Amino acid sequence: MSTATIPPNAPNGVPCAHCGLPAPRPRAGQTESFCCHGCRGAWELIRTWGLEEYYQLRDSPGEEIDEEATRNWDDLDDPRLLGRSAPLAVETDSRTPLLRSTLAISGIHCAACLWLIERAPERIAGWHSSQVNMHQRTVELTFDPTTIRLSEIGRWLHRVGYSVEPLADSEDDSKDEASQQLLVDLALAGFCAANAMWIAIALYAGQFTGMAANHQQFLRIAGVGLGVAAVIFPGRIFFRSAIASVQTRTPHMDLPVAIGLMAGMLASIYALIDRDADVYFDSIACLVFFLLTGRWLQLRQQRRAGEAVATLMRLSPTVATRLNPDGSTARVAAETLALDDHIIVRPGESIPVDGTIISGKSMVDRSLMTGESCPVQAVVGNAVEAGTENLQADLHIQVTARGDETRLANLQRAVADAAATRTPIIQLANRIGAWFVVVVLLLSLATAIAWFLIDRSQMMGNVVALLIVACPCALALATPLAIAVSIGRLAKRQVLVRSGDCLERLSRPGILFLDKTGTLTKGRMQVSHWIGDNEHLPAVGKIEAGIRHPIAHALTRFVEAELSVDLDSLPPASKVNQQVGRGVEGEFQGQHYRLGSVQLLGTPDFDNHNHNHTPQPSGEECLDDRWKSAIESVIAAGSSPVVLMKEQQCRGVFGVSDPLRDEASDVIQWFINEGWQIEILSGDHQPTVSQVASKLGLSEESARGGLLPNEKLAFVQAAAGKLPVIMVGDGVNDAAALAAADVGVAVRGGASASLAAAPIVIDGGSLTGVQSLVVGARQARQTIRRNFGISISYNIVAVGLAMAGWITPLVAAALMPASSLTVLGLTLASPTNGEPSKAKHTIPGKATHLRES
Amino acid sequence: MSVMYVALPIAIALGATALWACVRAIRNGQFDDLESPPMRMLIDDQPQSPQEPTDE
Repeated sequence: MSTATIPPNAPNGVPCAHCGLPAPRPRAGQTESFCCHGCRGAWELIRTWGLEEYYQLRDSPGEEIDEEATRNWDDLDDPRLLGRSAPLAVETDSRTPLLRSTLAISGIHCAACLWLIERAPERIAGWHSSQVNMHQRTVELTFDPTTIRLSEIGRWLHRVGYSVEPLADSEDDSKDEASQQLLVDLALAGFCAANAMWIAIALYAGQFTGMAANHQQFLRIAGVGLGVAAVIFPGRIFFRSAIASVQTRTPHMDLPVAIGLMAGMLASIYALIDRDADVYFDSIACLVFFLLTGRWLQLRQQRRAGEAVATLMRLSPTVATRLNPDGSTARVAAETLALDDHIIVRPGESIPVDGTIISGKSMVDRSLMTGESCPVQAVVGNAVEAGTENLQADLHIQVTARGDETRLANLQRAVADAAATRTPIIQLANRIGAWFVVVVLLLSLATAIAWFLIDRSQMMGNVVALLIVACPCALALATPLAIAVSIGRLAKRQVLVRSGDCLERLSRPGILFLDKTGTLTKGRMQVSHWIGDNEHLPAVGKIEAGIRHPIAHALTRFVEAELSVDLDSLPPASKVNQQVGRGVEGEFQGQHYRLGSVQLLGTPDFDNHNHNHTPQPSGEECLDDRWKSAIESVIAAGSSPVVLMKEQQCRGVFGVSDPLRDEASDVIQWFINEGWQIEILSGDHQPTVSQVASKLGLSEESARGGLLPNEKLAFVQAAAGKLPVIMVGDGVNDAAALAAADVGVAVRGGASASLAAAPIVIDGGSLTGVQSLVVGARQARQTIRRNFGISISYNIVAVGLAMAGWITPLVAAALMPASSLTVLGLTLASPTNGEPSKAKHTIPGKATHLRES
Repeated sequence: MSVMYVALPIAIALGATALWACVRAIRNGQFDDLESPPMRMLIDDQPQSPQEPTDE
């Protein structure tokens, strides 16, 4: 007997023409190969449209097409279910009214995507245009409702790999407004600063060449007017946050800044009255401008990361299928459901409410709630939670809790609480900056007194020179600039940082908590072992093809890769019968097959199917020693065995497991070498977790399995406060822990609640992102320290010179921007080396093939 | 030098006009999406049939 010779997804496989994932070799007569039907469909559709240029334009491969998605696109046609995305009529000169709808779109990543989406309408009748907003990740679709429905456009886009969703009723608009307001303030401050600067130059020039007193006073009035305008209008945000910082008694950089601005403004106004004194409105205006620039840069980067995360979020379904007492069904918004309403959840849908099953029998994927990697059985009487996914058959559910009362909502509240009670870490900038202006003001007072005694005529000039050179522009820019640059660089490595202060918490080694399912492992079942004859594989593929279960998908993928055939070309399997929790049986080419767990072997024939081979041999009898040892070897390797029976005889054993991410072990090793303490917190069974820990070279004690979400939270809270704590996870069950950790890192592809809870999201899903994050944080800290060093030593030297009376206000004004420019230049030129290389496409693990002797 | 009494307000007024235009553009949302327009610019228009839909 022969066994498999070509491992699936082996390194000698070729990249999929559409998504770049490893794919089986092209079939005879074809040059392109595809990893799945979805990608083939997308590729063919793009070719039919004549838009193949997409493949040249793009700079990174497309997303894998999820052909399994059984989304109910028809929801897009009901404006009541669309919320903010409900289509509006567009005024046109033609007789037919057009509709326009703005939808959130995911899957776009480069110019080629934009090109493809904006070109596609030209090929489809009735779809007039689409306008992509890359920043907000939205697409504005204009279509003719008499020719095409919105759901059809949704389906077209889905076929080429983009998925549209109605916009969430979030505060997007207010965020936009805040950002616009900051930009308006920045423009105003820039205007004041630039004009104040040239008026100041005229005045300084006038001091050398002589200038009529009335002209001088006129210029001074204009300049002070601009300076005061800069402080009152764009500068008001500093006063507002300074007042808040006094009220909450937390030192903040804005407090000294506000004192400085106020002092500068009052001194200038006084100087306007006392004609002998100098005015320094230009430095006030510039200070406001620089501070706002730093703030805007940081906000922009954070917002970009935040927007990218927002599109990854998919909250529990907002639409449900209600079963009316008369037997009819209706799609309704989930919040309009009443308690004790009956709803139908189709296979592949997420359950929108908490409830009790009143009819139906299925498997439910609870991994979002518990982290369990295997789906559990759900029968009549069982309770199901919102956010879990129904996998196999229709379930009729009686609503017991909806909206805010569901367990999912409770968990989300726990997340919010955990985030709110986290002790804030005071930024380095605030610690140092808090007393900066106070010290400067004291020094200027000292200078004034000293020079009052030495030489009254020089007193005012020296004090002003001191105030100008001590202007904390560079200090104000140092932190936001360094953080903005780091966030931008991390974003290029697919690490999205939504809160800049996280970076400061990662500077020294601490504890790294990791979730198992989906974080350390791929979160996707894979065939790791196959012991048996390949001649049985077509039957396995055909029988499992129609089953929605992670193990069935793993087996189907394995068979396709193994045989390099299209399963569609094979005759269909008949009488496929799925027994929840036990396995599948079916007939293929007249032969009866069964697939399932070892326990399946001991069970009698599947209930009502009457096969002609009674009496049954009992399970143990049909297993000879060879199969028993095969099963044992599979279990020993940490995989779950799946037994193949043909006509009641064991014919093969599969090993199925959720394999470790390829980079996991390298990344863990790196962290250990850096002095981090590593622990695994998982909701999965303890033996599985221990297995993973031992594969990663971690001790038994650091692997904690069977944890509930609040136990995870307890672990993180116990560790927090002493050392920096990073929590990396992806499930809803991790969300509270993510929020409580000093730095929560969510892995993309995870649950929306975890994405919402974590200030940092790794978009690429690769664990090397955590490594990049720590390295990036360290570099940001170095840059901040260096910036501080430069600006403070500059200030000390310059203040010393000013106090000694060695520099005039004119020289001081020229020196002032010098430190800002140095800080700016050094930050932008800070080194980027030493970061780990990005593993963009992971190579799937090679299946072990044991020879059947 | 008394021309300055005229020149300075004019200069400020000119600057203020530019500022007003800038603020208007910001309020209009022209700075909200700084990513798509530079990409769209790189996309060549294709010779199209006359019924190419127009957006506005």
